[in-house]
Amino acid sequence: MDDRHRKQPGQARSIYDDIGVRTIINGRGATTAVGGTLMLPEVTAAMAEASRAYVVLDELNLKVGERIAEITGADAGYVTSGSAAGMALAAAACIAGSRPERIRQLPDSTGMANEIVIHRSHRLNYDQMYRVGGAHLVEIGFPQGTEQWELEHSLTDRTAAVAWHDSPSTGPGALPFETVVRVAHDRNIPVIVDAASTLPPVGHLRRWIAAGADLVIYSGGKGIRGPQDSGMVAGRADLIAAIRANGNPRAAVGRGMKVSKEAMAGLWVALDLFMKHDHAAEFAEHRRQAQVIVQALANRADLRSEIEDDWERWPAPIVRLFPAGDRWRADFVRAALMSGTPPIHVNLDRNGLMINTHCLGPGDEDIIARRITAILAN
Amino acid sequence: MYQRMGVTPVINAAGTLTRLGGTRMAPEVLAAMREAAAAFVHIDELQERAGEIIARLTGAEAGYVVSGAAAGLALGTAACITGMDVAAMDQLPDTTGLRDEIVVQRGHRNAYDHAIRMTGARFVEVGYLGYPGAGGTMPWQIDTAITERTAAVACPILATPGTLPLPAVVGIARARGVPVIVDAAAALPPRANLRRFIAEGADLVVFSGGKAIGGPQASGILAGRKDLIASVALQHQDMDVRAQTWNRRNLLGSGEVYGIPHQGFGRAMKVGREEIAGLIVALERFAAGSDADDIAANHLRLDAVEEHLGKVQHVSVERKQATSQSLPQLWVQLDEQSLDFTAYDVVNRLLQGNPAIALSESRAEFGTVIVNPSTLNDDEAVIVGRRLREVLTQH
Repeated sequence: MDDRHRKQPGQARSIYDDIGVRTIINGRGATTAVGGTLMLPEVTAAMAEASRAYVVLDELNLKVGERIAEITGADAGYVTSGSAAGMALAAAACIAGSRPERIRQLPDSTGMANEIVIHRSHRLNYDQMYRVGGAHLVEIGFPQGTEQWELEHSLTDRTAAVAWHDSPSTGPGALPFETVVRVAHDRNIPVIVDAASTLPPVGHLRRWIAAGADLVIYSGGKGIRGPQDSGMVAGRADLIAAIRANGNPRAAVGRGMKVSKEAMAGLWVALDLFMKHDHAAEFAEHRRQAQVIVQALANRADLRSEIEDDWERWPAPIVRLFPAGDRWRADFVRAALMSGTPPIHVNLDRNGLMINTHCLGPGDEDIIARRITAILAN
Repeated sequence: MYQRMGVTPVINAAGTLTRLGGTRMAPEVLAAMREAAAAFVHIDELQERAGEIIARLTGAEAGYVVSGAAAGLALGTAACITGMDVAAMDQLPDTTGLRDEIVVQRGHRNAYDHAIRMTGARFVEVGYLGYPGAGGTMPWQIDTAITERTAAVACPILATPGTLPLPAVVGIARARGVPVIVDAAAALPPRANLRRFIAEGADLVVFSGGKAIGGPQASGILAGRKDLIASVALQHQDMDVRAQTWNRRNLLGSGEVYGIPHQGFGRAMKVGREEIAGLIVALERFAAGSDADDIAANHLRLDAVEEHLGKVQHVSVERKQATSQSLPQLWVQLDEQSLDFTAYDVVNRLLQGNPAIALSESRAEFGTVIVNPSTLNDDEAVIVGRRLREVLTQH
């Protein structure tokens, strides 16, 4: 990653030193729990600038929304306080629409079409957000496959929307997206796509709207490198208007999911930078980092490694390290990495270590390889 | 026989699929079935002896022969709901007022679990599929889903990412006094799995009899806790009996049941004495065999197939084993664009040819046809190789 924003060696103190929190090497990717991604200097400058004047928040969100619409190919767009807020607001919009008495009734959706149909394979721990927006989830299919009639039979006059989820960890067995859109649209039911962590590549910004999605949700603080607490929804004008009606600054379900003027300005600049960035070059650099880690640990009898670099699936290459034999355990090594200096955070996957290279800075790969080698030596 | 009925026999290179006839029984198994057909026995006595053999080979307290794995799941679930309560047995599949919830991880749901629902049970699903990063199952999710309405926790042997494995599930369920029922229908080989799930603490385990074990197609095994198997027997066997002469009237005397149940929930899943005899012979033969020998024999058959597939344009072949202990398969990858036909076309052309040949289409959407050698004999393997080459080189 472009490291102009990073704390440089020898740099005196950072705010985190003042607060008394240790900074870490992020081998988990653009994950909220370790800080998302790092904003570029242009983004933080825009936020600082935005903090110096008053504006009408609705107007600001409308303007940034126009930009979101432009780059996604949608009718309209809206800035949210992250993808989870986008999910809750999308549900609220599909259930209550823009009718004030319904907006005020949420999250109690009694008497409204409030069912969101979702593939069992797409259930994930964030889908509680749809329920926050008043939805009841109706599940179809199995991890082994789903039949079209299951979708057709699940759609009734109680249905508010069909939810689709796309992420690197989406379970298997869903119907093709084109089928979902065709069947839902035949009945005038909107399709919501949660594509929170699927950027880059840039092509994923237009993909879902082009394929017929009515609302698409993205994180602003991951691949886009906007403020960590920002996100966006792109989609049909009437549904975006309904999101606006259910969202901040109005006193509705979305009021607690406040987006600041600074975050909107930051996201606006971050989107520009994201569109211009050479993502292929960055992907290649992360692939090099992945190879450094794997090569440093090659020729070990107690370890098997693999690199997954499918850009359609992961924004950056993934390194997996599996124990060969039982000389070491991934959870112990992970804990040792976290408790060392600097702390290194990585994921666990299938009894192995999983290193996401997306948020590695220059040289992080060497430190990771060295530390793992040292831990395995004990 | 099939020709006389006007049914086309199929060379089966798709595996032990029910819709193609399961497996081929060994001569010893057929002989046992023929022998069993020639005389009358008490079915409950026959089941009891068969159960002892199943118990010995699985390490379980008790065993029972069912009419396939699905019947095993249904009967096992019924036993978890009713226990030895005769009136509850009579009430099924109406579960009003009974413990009828089956806790299951969402990643373990599958089309075969209809067999569990057919008892009247309802699933309580926990956990997510967005693993890693956005899901999997947390132990507390299973723990808090267990209530006084819970009949059992279902834990099929499926490696869906993020699901908790059987030992973890058992740890939670056992602490709450709830049985765990395991669908291991297709978890053989390896043979070690015959004992593994019982050893890991499952209360009931279901295996298919008509697949790897090589028993009759419409047979299956239920192994597990003695009290649950006793309940299964009462809900499955012919109950048109009288207290004075019933073979199992000791159950009345001991107070284990307060009356003789009527014909039960499982009556429609009848098992003949021929199936019981055939299954037991097949099971003993299977248990005495060796995984390594089976793997080697299947590799030889794949050699015979692969011999014909050298230098076929736009086609590459690869041997695959799910784990080092599973039987090998031959994955034939087609470059569909260059070939101008699809994997589904290959499957259909072989099915419509003479002789009809069935390949596995489980990866056909990715342009792969799979030769599964476990249901082929050596002669058939040669035919499959030759026909596959003909179809792949026909443009």
